[in-house]
Amino acid sequence: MKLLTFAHRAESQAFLKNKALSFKAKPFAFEGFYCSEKELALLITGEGVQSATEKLAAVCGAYPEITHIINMGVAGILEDSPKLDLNQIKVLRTCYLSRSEGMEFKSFTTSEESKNTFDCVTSHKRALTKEDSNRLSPFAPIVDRECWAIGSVASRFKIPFHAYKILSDRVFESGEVCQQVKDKALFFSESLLNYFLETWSLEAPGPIEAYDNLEKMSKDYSLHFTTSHKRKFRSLWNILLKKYSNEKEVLKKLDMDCFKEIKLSPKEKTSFLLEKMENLSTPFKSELKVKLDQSISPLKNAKCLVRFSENFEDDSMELSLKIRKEADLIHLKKALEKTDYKQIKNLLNGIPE
Amino acid sequence: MFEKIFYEKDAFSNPRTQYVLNKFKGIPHVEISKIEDIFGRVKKPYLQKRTNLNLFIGEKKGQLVKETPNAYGLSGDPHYYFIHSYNCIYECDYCYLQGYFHSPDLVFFINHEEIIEEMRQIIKKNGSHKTSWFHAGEYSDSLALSHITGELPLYFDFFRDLKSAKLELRTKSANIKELKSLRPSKNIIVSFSLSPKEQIKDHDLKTPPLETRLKAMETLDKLGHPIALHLDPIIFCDDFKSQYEEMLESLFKYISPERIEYISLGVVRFTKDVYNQMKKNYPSSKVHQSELIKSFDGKVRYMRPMRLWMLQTIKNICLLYGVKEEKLYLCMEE
Repeated sequence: MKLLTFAHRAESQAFLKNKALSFKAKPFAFEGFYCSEKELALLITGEGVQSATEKLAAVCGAYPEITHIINMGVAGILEDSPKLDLNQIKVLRTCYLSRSEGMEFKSFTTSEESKNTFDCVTSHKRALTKEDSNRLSPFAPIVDRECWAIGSVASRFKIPFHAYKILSDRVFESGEVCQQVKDKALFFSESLLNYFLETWSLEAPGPIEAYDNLEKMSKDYSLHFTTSHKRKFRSLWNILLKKYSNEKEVLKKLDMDCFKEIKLSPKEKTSFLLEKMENLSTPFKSELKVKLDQSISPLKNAKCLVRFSENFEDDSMELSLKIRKEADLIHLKKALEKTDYKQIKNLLNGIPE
Repeated sequence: MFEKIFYEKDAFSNPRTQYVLNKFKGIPHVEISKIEDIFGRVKKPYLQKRTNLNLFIGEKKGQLVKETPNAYGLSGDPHYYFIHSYNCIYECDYCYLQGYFHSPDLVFFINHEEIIEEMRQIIKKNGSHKTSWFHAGEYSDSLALSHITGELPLYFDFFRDLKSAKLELRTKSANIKELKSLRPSKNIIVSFSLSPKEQIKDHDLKTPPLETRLKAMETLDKLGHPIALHLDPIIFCDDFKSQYEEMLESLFKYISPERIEYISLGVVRFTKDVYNQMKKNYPSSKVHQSELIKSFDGKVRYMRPMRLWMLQTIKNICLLYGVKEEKLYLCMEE
């Protein structure tokens, strides 16, 4: 469900009157919440950061099905720029907050990917004078009263957020702007509605297709994934996808055809596949482990446990062995004689062969 | 290039400020009281440098010349870096600047005379038996915009006659316009950061290609400017060794090994914060596929045998080409 947010009813009037959208008031903890059959909801947050934060957070908490938050409304122009003109609708990018005590460090960025976006500063009070404009314009060219709060709640709930503002007044020119904005409220609201209908699809989203190639792979190559196998597979698969750009390439690197011929149980095949994936994602570490395993094989054969430091951060090794009889000691002595310590040391110190 | 230029009121009359303002007449110039009132005051997303980069001009306050961390330069001598600029026009995906200033905007500090005065004090304190090294380019590229900032002649004049001090200008650029007009000095070294061409394409976004940097090095070498190299950060890839072999082969066609003052080698490493920023800004970067681990000190880097193998491998290639071992040093590595 997409949630539209407006500060004032006047800004949302065209949406509420639109027959196709057919919003209906929804009883909630406060007034100003509407739902439509088009997978849309509309919230009037009230003006200012505190009201917008409280109301939006309450709605997001109550409706986990919200997939996008779209903030719309009027905004002021803070600087005289050919890129900014009255009645234009601008797509917002990063929102900053001006508090009474100064600028808030935290900022929130919308999910817009377009390059033609503008930053906005949300002001703790209405920006009406040239002084306001001078104070705020170094941070952003547009000013509003809520956007930062919307971004903050969206971020908290991890919901993508978007913001579209229609430029209603030039703050740096000063004047009796509030009344003028009120007088043009219907025009602003209709413009925002048209923009919304052009930009956003009203089609209800289909069920999310959970892409998962595990099932297909299990079938094609007779594999069997336990829960921990699945977790490991997904993590390694994502790493390999980044490394080799596409799925086909990854499958080729894994030489999947060999799994059709290999004579192992489905579970063993899966373990083998995961090992291959690990080797591909961490080739250096895998090779090092193989070489170290070879180097310490005499010790392992003598039932001696060999431990290296965590992530091989130093070149020491720790041996432990339970001696039960004299033969154990003799085995150990022989194993130590067979162990090429210099080779192990070289491997741990990255000395090329 | 810039969306706006903010200049400190007190810096307005400085000829360096005037030069920059005149150079960018067509964009808004905004007078401010102090840089820190705006710059870094709010968290400006790093990638906004692509579409909305501002420039700040002012004076740096506080300590202007600082001691470097250990293993920063050739060992034995005291090393310092000086701050005359913040941020960079390039966009290397591993760059620590993305987690440093909370803003990608550029800052030019114009009080170079004060920086030089601090250097003078340090050189005096260290005495003539030690060589004091001063590095430019810790928080910015020291050549990329040198034709606009115009401070190089001042530093050349200061260092030229000093016997116990060296200046290093670190760069990824090929902007040698200013240097070409300056008389070389034995103690002013231009150090180029290089990576194999595939790595430059993948990671050093918006920087000049390898060939262009090599040509710039060759030109400066022929003019008599001492040249050094930074092979840092070294990033692992499947054909790591052959990429470095190819790069070093090309390099030594442009400049002979004995002409290079020193070569520093450093493997890629991140603080946790920078790594998180990088994951956010460049989620598909190939750095993320390259066996990085959270290390003993909280830093994100390759495990020790891998780091050492990478450094040794490149060191061996350099030695094969005749680079003397004493000219090679491992940057920020044990």
